[in-house]
Amino acid sequence: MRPICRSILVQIVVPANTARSAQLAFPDVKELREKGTKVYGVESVAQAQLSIGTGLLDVVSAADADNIVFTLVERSTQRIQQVPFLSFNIVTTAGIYREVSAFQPDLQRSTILFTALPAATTFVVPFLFHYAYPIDPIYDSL
Amino acid sequence: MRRGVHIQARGIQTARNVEVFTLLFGGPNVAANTPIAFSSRTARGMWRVIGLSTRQPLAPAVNLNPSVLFTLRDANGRDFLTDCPLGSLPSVDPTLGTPGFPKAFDWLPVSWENSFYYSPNPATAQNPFTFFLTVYYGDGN
Repeated sequence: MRPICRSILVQIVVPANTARSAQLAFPDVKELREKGTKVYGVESVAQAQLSIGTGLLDVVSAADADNIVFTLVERSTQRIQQVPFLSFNIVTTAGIYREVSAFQPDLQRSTILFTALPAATTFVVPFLFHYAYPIDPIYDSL
Repeated sequence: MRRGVHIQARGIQTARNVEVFTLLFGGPNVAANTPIAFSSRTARGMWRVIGLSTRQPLAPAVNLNPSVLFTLRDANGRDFLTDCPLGSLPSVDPTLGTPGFPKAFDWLPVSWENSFYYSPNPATAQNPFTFFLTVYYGDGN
């Protein structure tokens, strides 16, 4: 597990009355879109770690978190394909985040998917992305 | 890969200074999402941050869900950590935070004057409590 150079919280807003099997795209994040940016670690954030997101919306409940899988895309390649949301939560991994081979995600083509009907209210699904820029010392080793 | 592991191991083992920030957060007049700067006394010149952890439960023991976020920046105002949940840091109480070792960082030259924390939870912001942020410093070399 590499030391963290930069991290950013990314939140997907799930509208009220979202249907089962709905796929929702990640928001555009300019920090991760900058040329040469490499993501090398991902965490999912559960309600026990953060109860309310930055937009004052509730964080996904524990029950709904069980029914989310997510996919991260780089260009036309699915780098992480339909992986359970909570499998990337560090509460269950003794604080160790999931390190991945460095890649630059295309967040607008990356999605979360609900495998069961989520709550009828509006809430957010948060992730932490660990990344580096070409100016960062760790970059060349990624 | 080898380099990353090396840095992490070195960072944990050779931290020359560990500082616990005790931060009183919130108050009757603090609205949700109001950024609060870290105290300038926390500045340590060119010393680098190589680890962070926290201590939960919050004190005094309050029945508030975790809803504290922090942003750490360099001297130029560029983010190292953007809106990181306090709950994503390892805690001595694994039922309230995350278990494990301090989260390791890559010798970050954090400018505490440019960094801040806040809560998006209106109820939290109106009920003062103290939280703890433990910072592990390297020597900057």
